[in-house]
Amino acid sequence: VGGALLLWSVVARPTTPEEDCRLTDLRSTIRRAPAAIGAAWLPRVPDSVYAHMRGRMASNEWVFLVDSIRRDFDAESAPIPPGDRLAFARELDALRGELSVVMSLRDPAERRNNAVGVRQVRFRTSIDPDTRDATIFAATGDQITLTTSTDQDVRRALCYRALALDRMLSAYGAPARLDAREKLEEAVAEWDAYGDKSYSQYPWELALNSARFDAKAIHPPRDQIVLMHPAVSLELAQRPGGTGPAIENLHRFTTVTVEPVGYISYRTGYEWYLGASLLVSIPEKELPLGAGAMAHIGQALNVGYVFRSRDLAGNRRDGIIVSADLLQLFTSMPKLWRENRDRALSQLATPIP
Amino acid sequence: MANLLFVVHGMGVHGADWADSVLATFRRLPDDYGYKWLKENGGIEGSNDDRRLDIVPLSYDRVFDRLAQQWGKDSKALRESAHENGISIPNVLGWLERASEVEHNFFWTHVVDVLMYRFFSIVTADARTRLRAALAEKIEPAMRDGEVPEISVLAHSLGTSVMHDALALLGSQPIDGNHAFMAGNLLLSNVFMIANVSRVLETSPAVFGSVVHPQTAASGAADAYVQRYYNFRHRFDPFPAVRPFGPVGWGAGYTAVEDCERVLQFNVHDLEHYLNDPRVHIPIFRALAGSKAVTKAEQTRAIAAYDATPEPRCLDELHRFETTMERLIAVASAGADPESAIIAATQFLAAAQEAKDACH
Repeated sequence: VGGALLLWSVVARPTTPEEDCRLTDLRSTIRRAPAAIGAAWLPRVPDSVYAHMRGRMASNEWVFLVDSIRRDFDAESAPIPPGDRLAFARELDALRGELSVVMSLRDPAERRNNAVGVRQVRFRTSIDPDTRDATIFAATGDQITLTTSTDQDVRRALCYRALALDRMLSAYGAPARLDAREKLEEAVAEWDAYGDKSYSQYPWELALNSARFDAKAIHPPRDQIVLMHPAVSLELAQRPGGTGPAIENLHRFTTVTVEPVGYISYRTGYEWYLGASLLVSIPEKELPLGAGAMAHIGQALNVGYVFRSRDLAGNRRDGIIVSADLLQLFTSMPKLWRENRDRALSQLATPIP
Repeated sequence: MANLLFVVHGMGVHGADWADSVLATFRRLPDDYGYKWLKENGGIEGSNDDRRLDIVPLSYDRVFDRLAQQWGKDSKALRESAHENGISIPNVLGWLERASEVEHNFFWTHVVDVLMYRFFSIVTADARTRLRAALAEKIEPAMRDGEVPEISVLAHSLGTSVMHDALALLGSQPIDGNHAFMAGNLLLSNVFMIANVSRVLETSPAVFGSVVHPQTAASGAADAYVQRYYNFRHRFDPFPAVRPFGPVGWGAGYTAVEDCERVLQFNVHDLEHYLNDPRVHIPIFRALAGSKAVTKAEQTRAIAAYDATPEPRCLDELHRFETTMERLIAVASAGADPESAIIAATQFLAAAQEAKDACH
């Protein structure tokens, strides 16, 4: 078996369009059976060509590289059909034109960093998994199809160059991809902060705020409408008969508050927010309903003030409201979702066969 | 350089290791069906010294879990509150109040995610951004030093909608002015959509107007984001039956596999039930590893072997299940809206559970 493998690896054999035009397969062939490539073509495989381009790429000589490849292509001796030769040359010229324009601008680095002006997938090849045919410039006026019956030298002359150019354009796009990735990661961090530190929303509030938000957005909403937002809050009101704001005159108790309407604005990074809302306090005991307003400064500080009409003794027992925006304090409702989900999951613990 | 296959789950609760069983299925199939080349070359992922493919599981259900921590599930209160405030909430909640306990359970464990994703654009945007970022996080390093890995995605059920939307935006919308991942600068090799619900859940970008189409589509190659698009659908799966995926003029780059009809488990919507069918996994293997991955003769043998696999033993229950599915699909197809899909999905899961229970 070893001898057979050795013989196979040193004797040249015809390659398929997949092996000539698909980088994964070509690399595998080079690794396992370099003789199948042949001494004449080994120096011209895409990875070798790409290695030679590194220095010029590092010094941003992109147009120079395309011109070199164009000259090399013009001198290609493989019997490429004239139509395919013209199509490939046209695409090389188109790439050169795009790069020339970008390089002639005042801010070529910015254009490159934003991936504007150069079509980076121009030389991407496509392999049909059923027919094994390889296609370059698919579905364009310059489409070139290479089959098992295409001369092997023609396939290599076109595909090796296309793959090397594809790699070159991938390198050209690297700074922009890194920048885009970092921007997306920042956006996810904003969504995390928005999820963890935003002012809570009941389903109807989420529906309302969703209705005014574009689902195509990358960043979370910059603002939020508060609507019929209930909470359990702490109220500090004057004791009956007490006068003045001294602490000993204040009575502390729990109250249900409702914010009929309000507005929240998120600050940069979504770590905190500013907002205001109307406020109604509905105490459980002898106090009448109070109405006022609440200020929101991040999750930590939600402070309001409610006014009340005078009681029979002629006292007005206004109150200061402190709410922690802990939705789960309101009723048992918040835990119900999780409880029901957990219960349902336990009932469905056995997968359906 | 290894190529990349992103795998995205469907609806329901998924842990960190949700894709383990999918990976195990991919690794088992060459042995199960005797695919010689794959067996000798380390399977679809390749061997240690010739790594061809990295399979990357993605997840987006954290978005729904966060809301689960905030909210209760009082559907009646939710609907009434929404109605009083003039907010349109789908009538699926009204149906839910009349649903059976099993249906109720499946709604809250699986289908509520669909409702959240489709009807709350803040949730939609959150999930889409996370998926875009997860794609970029892997693609960017894989393309360093001028590498050009073949990038493929495999999505299931709700994941087909989330993945379509994420790709459509990644391919058409600059990221704060950056075009790096847009069509023209990035081209996916393969998109595999299994139990595709992207049409019925579509918002914007519209499914047939987005860049997520093959280069051979009539709209042209200039803005194409995909080289080949595969759509897999099982005859008795009601999920993709509502507004079924059926593009016109997408050309040779589009492959529709709709002749799956064997019922080897009652949950025919299950991802692994799909993958076990050679009609599904052979096109995937060939697209990922080339035509050599499975020969024509091996394909013929595999399909014959799969079709000869015994169906569940309780045939009466199986026939009753198939009849129920056909009725469900007929009703759901007539609805053609997301609410119909959500109700059909819940009823399907409940029917599958009941069929399983009756079978034992």
